[in-house]
Amino acid sequence: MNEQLDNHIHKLRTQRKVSQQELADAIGVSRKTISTVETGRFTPSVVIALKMARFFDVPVESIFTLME
Amino acid sequence: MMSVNTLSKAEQENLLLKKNAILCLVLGLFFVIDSTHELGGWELSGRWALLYLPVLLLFFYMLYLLLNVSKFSRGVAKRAFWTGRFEDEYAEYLNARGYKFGYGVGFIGLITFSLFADLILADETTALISMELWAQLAAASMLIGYALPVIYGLAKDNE
Repeated sequence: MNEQLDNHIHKLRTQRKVSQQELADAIGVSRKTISTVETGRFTPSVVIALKMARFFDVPVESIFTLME
Repeated sequence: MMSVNTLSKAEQENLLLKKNAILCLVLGLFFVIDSTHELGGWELSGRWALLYLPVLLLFFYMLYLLLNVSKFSRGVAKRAFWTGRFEDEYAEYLNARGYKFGYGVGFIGLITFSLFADLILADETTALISMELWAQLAAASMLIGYALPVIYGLAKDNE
């Protein structure tokens, strides 16, 4: 678990009724990548973060936040 | 079950990484069992031949995996198979972690034996171990060191 980075991917997916597989296919990564990013086991690159932000149509800061 | 062709490139890369890690694990175990045959001084006759059975089974499983991996890698993951580089970030991360562990295990094992072989092993055992066996054990530890973190990383899941 990444102790510095928090994310709201699960919340955003649930709100928009999007599965991990659908999100993965939309941004061109594997479902495993989404799953591990969501649980904080893997920190993605800026490219993936930006692709997610574009997919959900929100700023990156709404998906990823630094823990205080 | 989805066929390989309907999977996205990222999913194919994950599948290739998984098969590759299993192949490394099987190959590593094959080397370990094969070298214990030499260390134990088994004769391939009578009831001792039964102890060689897992080696044969692993050998055939390894051949099957080799065919499977090379057949599978004709698809879009072909570049990943030959270059060992993955476009999917998590696959690339796991692959790098596997190499790191494999290197670490091999390095620590070799350094330990180079420094303490005389203390760890009896004189007769050191004389029994050939260069071929040392090489097999080093390769086995590196292969297993690569495979285990990759398989563990791919096995953990939560949808």
